[in-house]
Amino acid sequence: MPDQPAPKLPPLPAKTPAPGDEHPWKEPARRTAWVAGIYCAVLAVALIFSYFQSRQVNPVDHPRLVALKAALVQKPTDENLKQQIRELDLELRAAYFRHLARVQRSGWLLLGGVLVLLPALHFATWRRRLPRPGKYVVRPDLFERDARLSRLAVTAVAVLGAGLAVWAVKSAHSDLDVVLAKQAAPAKAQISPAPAVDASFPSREEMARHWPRFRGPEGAGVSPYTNVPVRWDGESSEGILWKTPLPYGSPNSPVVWSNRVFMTGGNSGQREVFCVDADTGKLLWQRPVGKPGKRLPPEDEEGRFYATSTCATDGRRVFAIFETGDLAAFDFQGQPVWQKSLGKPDNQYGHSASLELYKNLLIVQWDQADEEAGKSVIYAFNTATGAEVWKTAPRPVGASWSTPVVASAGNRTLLVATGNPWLMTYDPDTGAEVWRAQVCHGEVTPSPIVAGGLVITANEELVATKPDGTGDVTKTHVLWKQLDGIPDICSPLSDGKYVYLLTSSGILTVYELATGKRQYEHELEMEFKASPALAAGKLYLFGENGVTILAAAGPKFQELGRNKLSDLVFATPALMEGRIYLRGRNQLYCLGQKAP
Amino acid sequence: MRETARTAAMAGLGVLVGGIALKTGASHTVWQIDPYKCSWCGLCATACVLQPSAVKCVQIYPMCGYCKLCTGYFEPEPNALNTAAENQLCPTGAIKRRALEDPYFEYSIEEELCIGCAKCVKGCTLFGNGSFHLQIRHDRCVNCNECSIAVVCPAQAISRVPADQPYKFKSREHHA
Repeated sequence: MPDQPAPKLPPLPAKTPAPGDEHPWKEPARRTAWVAGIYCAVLAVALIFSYFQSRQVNPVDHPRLVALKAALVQKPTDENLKQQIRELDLELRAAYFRHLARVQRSGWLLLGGVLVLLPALHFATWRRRLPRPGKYVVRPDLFERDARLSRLAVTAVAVLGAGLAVWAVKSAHSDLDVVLAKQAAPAKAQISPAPAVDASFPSREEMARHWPRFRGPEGAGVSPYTNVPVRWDGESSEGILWKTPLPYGSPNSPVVWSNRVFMTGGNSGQREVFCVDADTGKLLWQRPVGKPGKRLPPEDEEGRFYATSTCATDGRRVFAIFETGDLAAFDFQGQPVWQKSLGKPDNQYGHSASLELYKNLLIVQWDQADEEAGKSVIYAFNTATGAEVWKTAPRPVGASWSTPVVASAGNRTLLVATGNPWLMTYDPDTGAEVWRAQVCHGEVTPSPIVAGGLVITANEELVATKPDGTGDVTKTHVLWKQLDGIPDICSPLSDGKYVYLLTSSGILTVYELATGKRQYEHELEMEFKASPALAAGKLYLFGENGVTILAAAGPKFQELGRNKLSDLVFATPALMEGRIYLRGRNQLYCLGQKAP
Repeated sequence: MRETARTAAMAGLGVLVGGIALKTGASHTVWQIDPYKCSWCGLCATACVLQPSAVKCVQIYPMCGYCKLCTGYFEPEPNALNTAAENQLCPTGAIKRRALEDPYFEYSIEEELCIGCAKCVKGCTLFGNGSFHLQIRHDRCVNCNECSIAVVCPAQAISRVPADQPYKFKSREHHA
């Protein structure tokens, strides 16, 4: 084959990529990459700088601070040194926490920068891939097809992988999740407030038709009904409409509104409010209050009472307070309305004052510590929201266990509260003090009452105080005092003519209300914890052994009958129309005659 | 093409095996400090991958003596028993002191400020009841595979514990 001259090749084109090799986003991506790169670099340098700088402001064992503190040991009275330490300490702490905040902020900013930089770099350096040698040299037309199929296969695998990863994350139980769930569990059990609440409140007349608080309307222990049961028998079940076992043997009293009976109960670990149907005795609901704690061993609980405060109801909600300081409101269906904690009070036997209601206010007597501590106050909370409406000035009394009453006395409405050593009255609308009298002594447990236009207190002495004073009325308004038969637990009772006192050892002492003259003293030879009650001219004296003595009200003792239940009785029963709701240690009894 | 399919199949199999291994793996555990082994070296504050550290001081109230002169709160030989900076041991002021009935004071930890430096733990353990001690707080800890504090802990006090019992608190009973 003759030699032929080599064909003359056309000159090589300038170094510009062939059309299609250039990505359309390449130029903007290149610029973005530059900006993001510089941004990230600046942030990274700032972070490194901040790291080294932070080592100089680390408040732990800072050399200058250590030296200053050492110098102070040598010169303990040098005020200048102290000032220098304080200033440096503040400066180091502030700088350290500023540094931490800066690092956290910069970290997020850097992450944002990197998220922009990486895709920008990808497109800025994008180049069309050259066909690989091999089969594509012979069949270059296959390259495009295989490349497309490869891309599809990789995408499918990526989708599968992502799906599996999501499944794994969803189904895997992270170790920290276990811990965090455990930590969050008590918080979830917490009661969340209901969105809408009924802000209305009952009138005094409406309250008087029910048994809304400890010892009924105005805390007087007097039932307005004349058909309260007088005869029942635990053995034959005669006169017992129903009885129902209770979840707790706590000594607080039942409160009743319409066909609902409310009580609370608890042990060393938990506290609950519960509701019983007054017609059937069925336990309708029980709800926990506050965080449950570790329960004491049974031997340590032995002989102690928990949930001693009686709850209160305004016909819309029921309110309960416990010795832990937990205060809660539930509606009649058992739905939580609000709850709060007042903190555990400093009270050697545990808080036991019950709740009082006035208009739309829930009144909490929160006496604690000693009289000098200034920790005792009375709160009024909005019944619908739980918001604090007023709080009295610190009360000059120590811990007490009596329940306040709001009652009409001397042409005005007074909130009456006792504590050692003061009987104090307040304006229930504002919490402003009206008057005080130094007539209380010892461990104040029996609650005050208002009867016959007088305030009656029985705390180591029986005192009748006129309610129309202001300021300190100890020397001006105390009508009379007596010292015999003073109860230690049971509250006094009055029918407007006489005052009846019942000691826990069973001595019934009666005084004339107007004069303080003693009428009689009678030994009942039984133990009593429940306060006496009165209905239709009859005294109801509920013995701890389950025996209730009925006696005629008046200046002479006359026993009208005895009724026995096989249960211990610590709580003051509720005396309603045709019924008595009596809480025993184990059961709630509804006493009354079945309809013929 | 065949190569791609093979790679995809292997990757899928890998994910599946990994998933099964994850499900059937060892019981859940988290890192925690044994307070009885801790030597209060202060490395918890600096070695944790988090800043500030996930290690915080905790106060065991039933063990606390409610001392007026708390050796976990005050510098040794404090100038005065008050809250002034020159008297406080905590470098970040994370311990709050509250007067109760004289002569008792309550000490509580503000975790946001605590950096886990263990200065208070050392003071309380050497001279007090030992109610202050360090714990890894699991609302902060990210539960690394290898805890960077455990690596440097000179007392080897950090180990994995069951996640349903994530804390190792000191107790009066243990001391008794």
